[in-house]
Amino acid sequence: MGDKVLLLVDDKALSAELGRHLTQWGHNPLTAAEIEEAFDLAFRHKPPLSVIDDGVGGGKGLDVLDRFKAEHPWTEAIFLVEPPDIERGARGLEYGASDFLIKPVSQVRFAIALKRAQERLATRKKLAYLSGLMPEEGQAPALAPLAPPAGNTVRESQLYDTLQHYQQLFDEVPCYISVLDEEFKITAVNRRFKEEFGDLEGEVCFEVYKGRCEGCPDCPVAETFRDGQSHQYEQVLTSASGENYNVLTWTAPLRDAKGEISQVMEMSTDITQIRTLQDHLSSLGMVIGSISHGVKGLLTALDGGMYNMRMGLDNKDIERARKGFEVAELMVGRIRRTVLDILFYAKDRALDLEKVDVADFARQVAVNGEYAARKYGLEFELKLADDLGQFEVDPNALNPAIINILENAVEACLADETKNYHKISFGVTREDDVIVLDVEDNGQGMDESIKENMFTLFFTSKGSGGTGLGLFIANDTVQQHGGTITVDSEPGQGSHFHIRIPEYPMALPWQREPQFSRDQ
Amino acid sequence: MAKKILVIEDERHVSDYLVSIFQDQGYETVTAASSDEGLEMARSEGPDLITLDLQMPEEHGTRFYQSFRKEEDLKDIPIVVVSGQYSPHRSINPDRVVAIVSKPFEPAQLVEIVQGAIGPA
Repeated sequence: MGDKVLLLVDDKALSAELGRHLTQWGHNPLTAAEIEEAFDLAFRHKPPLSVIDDGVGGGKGLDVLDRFKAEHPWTEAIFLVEPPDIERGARGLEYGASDFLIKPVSQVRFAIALKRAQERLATRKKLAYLSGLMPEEGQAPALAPLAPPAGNTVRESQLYDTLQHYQQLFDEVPCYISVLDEEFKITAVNRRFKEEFGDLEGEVCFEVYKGRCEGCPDCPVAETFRDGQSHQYEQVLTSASGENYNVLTWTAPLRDAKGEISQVMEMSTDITQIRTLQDHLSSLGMVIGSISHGVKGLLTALDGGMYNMRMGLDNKDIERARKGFEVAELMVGRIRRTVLDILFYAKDRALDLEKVDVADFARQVAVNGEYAARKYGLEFELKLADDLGQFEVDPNALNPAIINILENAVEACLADETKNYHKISFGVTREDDVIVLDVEDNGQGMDESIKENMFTLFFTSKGSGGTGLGLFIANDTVQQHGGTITVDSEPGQGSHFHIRIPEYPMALPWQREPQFSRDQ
Repeated sequence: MAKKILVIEDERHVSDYLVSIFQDQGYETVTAASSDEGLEMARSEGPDLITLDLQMPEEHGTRFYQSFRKEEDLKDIPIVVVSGQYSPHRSINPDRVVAIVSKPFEPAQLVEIVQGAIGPA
């Protein structure tokens, strides 16, 4: 990471030597032969670091340093002195130098001094930023209270110590801390945050955490900007290595000198383990509580089918036996699906992506939908556009999800007693890099409350005939693929499920190439 | 005239099943798919016994039970609760309910309960 380093060194040989070291370490030396040239270079390049020799201007180094620090408070200065002038070196510190070095300057000592200057600058900048005193990174603020004019040196060093102390607290608190400005740009993160999520300073929070292109609804940071109160919420963050973290986050307002909220801090505690445990327990409980009722209904109806089948056979009433058989067949199908849904739900699976021919995928899915539809005398139509190409999906997850939606369409038609003719159409088209699947039926349709709840876990409109797992899993699977499902439906008219799946599952920023970095 | 049983059950296939069982025993049956419809049928049909699913959507089963017990003409009609729930709801008075049959049930047992309450068809 190359920094610009201004060199104002009297001794040409030393200047050249320091320049060589800097170049070798990847820095960019700006060598000035004269004092005014140095000020000119500093003005034009705003270097973060500088080396000022006490010998310049015939021993006027301290005056130069004083003026330099006043004009460029955001440039750290390393002050060079002759061996007998150690006192002047100490004065240099008072005048705002980050360090002084006694000539001759060894490469090792120069490297150490340079590193300390960089650290000091980073700390000062971060704290200035946090306290809202630095409007934009790299730009000197109108007020520079963190680099007070020379003379206030005791105060400065106390302030510096305090700042370092707080920086340490900030970094070492066992929480992930980030600070956001009003545009939801991340302006600072602590060390622990950096370790898990990378150095995301300067990124927009909802883009990097959530892969969204606009702010999240009910954003607690926005709330805090609005009401100045602390808000608490739970969220799932994805770390740089792709792991999901359940975190409990508190927000807190940070106010500027005028008392206005300039930034909001988010402190997140990792509660993944608690959540995982709770999830297991509650889904177990919910599955038992909710599924059992549905399954009992299915078993009872299956009994009914078997009963009528037996009574029909006993009494040579073939019509009754046939009806009983049809009910039993329908129930066995539903029970089978329910059991498969439960097994699928019980397994928390990651996607196993592969490139799949879209038309082949659609035909495979359609075979199942068509079978279900034709069995009940419904018309089924498959419409495939040309040039569908391929998409990258997990067919073992997506296939049953789409079949589930097709089977729902069949059931919506069966439940509709107002029409004699029912039709399901399944269309597949491509819109740029999105594959669009349309499932339309003219069945019973849905009212608003069903539409709102249909993707909710354990919500069912089928009474004891459903478990509320099917569409929940379908929606979940499509979302996992980075896709969306939207539904148009009118009671009595039918439903239109509109499923959009990207050609490639949406990559999160850290999965994009090249890896982004704060250092350009 | 055959005794009449009102089946209140939202799941059509289960309702059909109950109807088959009762008709095979010679009872007359009427059905209702919701609690509101059930209350109306109870008033208009004057059944001798009612089977009630307590877990119909929006807990209509228990609401039906409560409004049903308030009506003078209806409150003495015996009720058999047929439910997927294990434990009866607190609002159900055990004196009024002949039996609670949990799904899935044994048809012979149900028939026995019904015959015990109102006699054969």
